[in-house]
Amino acid sequence: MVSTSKSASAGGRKRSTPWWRERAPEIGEVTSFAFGPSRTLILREANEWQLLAQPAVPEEPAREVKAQVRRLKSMPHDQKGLQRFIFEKTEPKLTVTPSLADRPVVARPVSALSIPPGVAVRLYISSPLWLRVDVHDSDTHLGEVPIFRPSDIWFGPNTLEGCLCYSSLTHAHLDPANLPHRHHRAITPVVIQNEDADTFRFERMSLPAPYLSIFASDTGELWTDTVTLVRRKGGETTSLELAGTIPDEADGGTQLHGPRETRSEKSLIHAIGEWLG
Amino acid sequence: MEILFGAKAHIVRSIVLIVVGFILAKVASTVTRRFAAKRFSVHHATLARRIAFYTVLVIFAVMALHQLGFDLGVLLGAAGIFSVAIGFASQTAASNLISGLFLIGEKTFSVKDVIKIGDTIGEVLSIDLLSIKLRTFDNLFVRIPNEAVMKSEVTTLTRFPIRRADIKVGVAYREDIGRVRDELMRIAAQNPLCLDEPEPLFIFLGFGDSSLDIQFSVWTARENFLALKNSIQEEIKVGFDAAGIEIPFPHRSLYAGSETEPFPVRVVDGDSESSGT
Repeated sequence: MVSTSKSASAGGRKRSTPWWRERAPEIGEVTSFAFGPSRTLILREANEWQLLAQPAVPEEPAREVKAQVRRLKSMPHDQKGLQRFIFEKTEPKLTVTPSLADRPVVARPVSALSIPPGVAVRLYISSPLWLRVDVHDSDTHLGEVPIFRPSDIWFGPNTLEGCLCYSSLTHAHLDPANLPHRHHRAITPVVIQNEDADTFRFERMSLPAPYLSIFASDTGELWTDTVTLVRRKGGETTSLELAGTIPDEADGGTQLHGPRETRSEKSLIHAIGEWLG
Repeated sequence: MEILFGAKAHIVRSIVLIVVGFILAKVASTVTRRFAAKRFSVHHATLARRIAFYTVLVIFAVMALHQLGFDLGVLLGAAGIFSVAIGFASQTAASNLISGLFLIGEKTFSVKDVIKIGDTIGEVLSIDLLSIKLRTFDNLFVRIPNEAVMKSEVTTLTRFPIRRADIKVGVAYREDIGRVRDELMRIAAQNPLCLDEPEPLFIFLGFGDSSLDIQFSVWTARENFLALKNSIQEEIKVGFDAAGIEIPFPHRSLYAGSETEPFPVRVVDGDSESSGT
């Protein structure tokens, strides 16, 4: 018998103002997006846009971080890594939106979870976000920068096979009401069904971030579509499902970006065995 | 038509055959290159192209010789005797040729791989019939006979996607090894190029002459190997300085006995002399 732990509604969460909206900077104006110690600055000039990313080191999990968007008069003195984009003429349209990682994200719970046989659980795992910078009519893409640069991690059965991913620690909350407010991360509902006869010890999993869409709830939180993993009898994970739609906890929000990559059944089936470490 | 069937026609036909043969050989080479480029590696494609070119050219050259009246049977007989002499003289070349075929078949390395043979490290430019060509990192061109490659130990540095960097560190005898380990792990966790998994490895090598010898091994993607090796050693130095962990110079302690008085020392500085203990 498969019992499913009911997911608590995400209702009742505090509403926050989305930081992703179109802005109209003047010439010479710097728009600063700060997330704790990490910040990204965009300067508009008459014939160029300048992008300066100063991502901080990977942050601790479960830390509440809010976005602060400010207008500054000039760029900082330290301009290491400055990128310049030259145009004949710039327009006062700047759109900065969140996007998911360009590689899978390996989520490792701070404490390992044990899922008994026949149990299905719904966890909430967050992953780091990138800032996507578009100008003019949003069809001119300047680039993407990580809000916080996550560590690299190798995910595979050995050092010869596998893939390079980003690393993320997670508390794997069971109740969305306990999720901290973090504007720099998106939440993925993960359903794990253990149909095996043995207890499954969940120590890490690879979230297929390039194949997920990102949604904004009407409370200003960022979500991805639900990922469902089924562990069949014999210990093999043979089913991976990406909902492709906004999760129930997102309260009828909107889609910000679709998946970076179009998944093929073959690529997913090939990777299925490796989603859970 | 008379020019093709007149008195000197055989010379003209021979020339026509050579020209046509050259053109067809070029066409065959181009077609083979396009076909092979999509299905085989770069050096396989180059080899196939050359085989196609010379095969077609040799066929038309033989036809041209036949037009000129050469008795190919006599030629083949003379070639047989000549080949014996050539065989003795070209043992090395034949060995290189056969070694080259084995190298290509084994696929130990490919063009653009970085390999180490003996003391030479470089990027493979080509794998030819008799030798391989490398470009060293200081931009030198190195030719290594295939026979030498077959007989030597070859290390392909770019074969696997991740690499381990082994950092040797010595700390003073007075330091707490546990604290040193914690500090090294903290430094590795802060460096985004350092993989979280496989986890960094701390090995206490032993009690050296002047220090406690430690090996700290960290993993990274192979393209980040140099960047990580440089950055983490610098970060170790900075972190140790901040934590007050001493990296000692080689030193010797001199004792004159278990209850020795300090050695008398006389300092000579320019015109003045002073003495002390």
